[in-house]
Amino acid sequence: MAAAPALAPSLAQAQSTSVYGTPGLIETPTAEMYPDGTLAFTSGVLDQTLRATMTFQMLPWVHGSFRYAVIEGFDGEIGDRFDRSFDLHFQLREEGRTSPALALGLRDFGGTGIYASEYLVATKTIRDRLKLSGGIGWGRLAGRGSFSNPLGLLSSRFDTRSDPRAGNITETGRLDFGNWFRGEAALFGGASWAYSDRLTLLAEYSPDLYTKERDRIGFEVSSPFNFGAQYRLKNGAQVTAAFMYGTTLGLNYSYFIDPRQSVAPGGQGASPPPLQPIDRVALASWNLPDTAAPGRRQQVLTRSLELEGLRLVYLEDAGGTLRIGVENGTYGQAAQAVGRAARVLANTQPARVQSFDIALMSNGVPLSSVRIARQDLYELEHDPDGAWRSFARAEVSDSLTLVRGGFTDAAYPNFSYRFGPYLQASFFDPDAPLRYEIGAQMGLDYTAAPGFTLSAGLRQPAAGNLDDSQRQSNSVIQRVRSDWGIYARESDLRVEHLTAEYIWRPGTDLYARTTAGYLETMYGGLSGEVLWFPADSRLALGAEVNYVKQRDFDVLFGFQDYSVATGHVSAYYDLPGEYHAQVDAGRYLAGDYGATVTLDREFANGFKVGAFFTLTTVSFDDFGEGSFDKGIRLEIPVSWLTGRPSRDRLAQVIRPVLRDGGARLNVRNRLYGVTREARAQQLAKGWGRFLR
Amino acid sequence: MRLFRTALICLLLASCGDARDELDLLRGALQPDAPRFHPRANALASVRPIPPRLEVSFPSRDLSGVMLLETERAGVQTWLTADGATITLEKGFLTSAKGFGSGLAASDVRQSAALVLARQEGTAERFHSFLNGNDQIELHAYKCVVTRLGPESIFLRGLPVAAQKLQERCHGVAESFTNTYWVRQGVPEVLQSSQWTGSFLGNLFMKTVPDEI
Repeated sequence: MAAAPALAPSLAQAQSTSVYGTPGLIETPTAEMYPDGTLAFTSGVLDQTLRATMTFQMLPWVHGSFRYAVIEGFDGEIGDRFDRSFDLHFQLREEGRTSPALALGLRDFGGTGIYASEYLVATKTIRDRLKLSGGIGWGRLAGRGSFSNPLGLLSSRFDTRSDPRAGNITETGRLDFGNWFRGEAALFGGASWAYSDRLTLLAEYSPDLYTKERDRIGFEVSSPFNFGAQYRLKNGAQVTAAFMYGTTLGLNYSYFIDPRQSVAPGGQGASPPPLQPIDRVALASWNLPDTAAPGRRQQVLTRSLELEGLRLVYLEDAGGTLRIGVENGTYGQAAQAVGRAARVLANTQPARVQSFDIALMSNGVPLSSVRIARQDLYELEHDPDGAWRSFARAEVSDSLTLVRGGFTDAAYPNFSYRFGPYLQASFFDPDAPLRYEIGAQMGLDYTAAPGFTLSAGLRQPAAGNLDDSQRQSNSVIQRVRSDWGIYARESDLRVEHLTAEYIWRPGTDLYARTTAGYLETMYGGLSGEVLWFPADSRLALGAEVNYVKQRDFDVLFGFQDYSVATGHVSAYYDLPGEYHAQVDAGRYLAGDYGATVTLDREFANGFKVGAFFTLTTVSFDDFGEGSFDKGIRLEIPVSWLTGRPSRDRLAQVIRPVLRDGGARLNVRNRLYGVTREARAQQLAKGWGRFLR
Repeated sequence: MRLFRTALICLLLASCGDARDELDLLRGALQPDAPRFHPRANALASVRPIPPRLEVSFPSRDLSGVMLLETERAGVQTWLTADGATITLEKGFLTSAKGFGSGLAASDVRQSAALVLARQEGTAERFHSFLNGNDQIELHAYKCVVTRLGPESIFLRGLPVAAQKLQERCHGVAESFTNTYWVRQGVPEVLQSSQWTGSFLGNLFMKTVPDEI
């Protein structure tokens, strides 16, 4: 697949990935980095241990990892240990001509502490092929040959490291910073030598004594030296085989994704209609004076937009300017929808129309409007810098002032449906690496009038192990989410949602929504929201209030006793450098107050990698395992995978554990999500597709 | 990875409904080579007299077919394939290729065209803009050397036509490529050529199908 990046060898750019799934030799880390934005998926096995790691190069000098490890028989009679851990790794200094790269790492800084260690490591490339690394490690890395902590010179509190909280599951998930860089330290190091572009030989000295594994599963360490060979496959993936600790074999596979490389760079969808010479358009039958009934012209326009996957819902002829509203059901980038609509207009409208106002609409609600001068289209269609130049000349504004009678007759009411299979997956819960459910789903939407939509979503599970979970919630607070296992077990045909929704624009830069009904799988009730979002702003502010009641476990029409008023104020900010931040503060489903912070890296093509955490008035102890709600999320546009235009996205949230504190209502069509694609910041990011 | 992708798409997208594109998408995932006919191509194919045709092939993908002239405006011709992909040609020189998966968005090939059509050797600069996998436009510049490879007869509709063969070797920061042109003796016109569409698909081979010779 074309998604594999070319990992060109360059200074301190990772050529090898360790069993921990981060740049390293076999077990020990190096000071290398992946190319910015790389997602690396690694699974490594040794003895009775499996480590699956996802590492994301968040910034050129920072990468973070989420790891799921299975250690067979680690917990004796209880059985295997499923361990989740997070790493952070910072490059402090890039490699220079004579100086090494320097990096600082925190491994398993917030988990159960099995792998907890910190290190400072230096790597130097010698003549492109040889890389030498050496460093000092604390925690788990301070095994063989450990000595008293040199940081003890700074303060005596560095001298001792309290017992990691391994095994005490209720206390996991808190930052262990009281222990970082404490206790004894030890040295580690190694070398890699690139025999060819494909094959790299590795050797290292690892001070890790596998003390816990020795005691619990009989892991034997007879030598600190590990040797391995790594082979890079054609798609960029790496396979490493190693002889480790004088006793065991290790095997490691890493697969890399560059989110900037979609499967087909320009996409495989049909080309846009080329602009016809304006005199030919003027002579088209529907533009001739004697037959030019506006009805006929509108018919041609509707049909031509339909061919481009757009639905015409609004049309207003204001002399030199034609104003239309379209619903984009096809393109992941709104800019592409605008570009297609503009060319269809140029190919169908009489010559007197000099400019087009194209409003992007969602269920009859205008999201924003783009004005395009007809002459610019002709001038820039074949210009090498046409995309950027056309953006510079386009005007994005808040919206059209809709006039009475502007909506086309056929636009509303509008009925749409979809039917197909679904997959619901839950990764890495404490008892099973993968829970999933597949089945059939149906969605129905009936937009009775602009902004007013009745929706239903049904699901019929067919297979899976989501409902096998026998884990009883041990939550000591109101069980608002942790009963998910009971929902899965006791439901069959599910009414996922059944709502009446009205979205409207109370004023310039403002949007509002009210929704009533069965809002989501577990809750029903009333929801109201307002959003302030100027067309060209990076900042948006919103407020939402809901009154909801918990639904019955059968996910049909009944309710349980629990009801709650919940709501948040939210701030959304589109940060420079492909980052997006969101803060939601308010009252959560269990009645707890607090805030959620979310940070996403968003690539222009819509690929997103992010992380979030929520801190609320529920104490760490009351929260239970994990201490507070947190997780990572991935969102992949389907067009990234297929190369064909689509608005669908695959989204997956990975939470170490789903519990009741900091749980938010999942109401559909939150305004920021509905409106954002059409605002100037997002249009600009996708404008490369305007002429596509 | 192909399997993984197909499995993902099958599971998550095998939907039907009034969004007919999703069915197309599934079909595309299962049978990537199945022909799809685009309405614009259907409409163009029914035009009489038959619009000018161009034989094309991507040697790197073992794909070949015929394109029809869809429109010509401001000296730029747009040619259409049956599945809705297009290329644009300016005096026979490729300026864009859309819908094939590669992202050649637009080009400035005036200097190359001037040399080649004059059948002159020399150096030229050309500029290509590409839509990349991150939906952004990249503008690339190339330095090119045009050399004459001598006269060569090519066959159009089975008849030999005298042509001058020229080669254009181009180098950019990251890529280099070679285009080849067969230019008609007498009236300068590119009869046949192999031109670069970008690193994704490599060269496109094109040959005009004349109505009369």
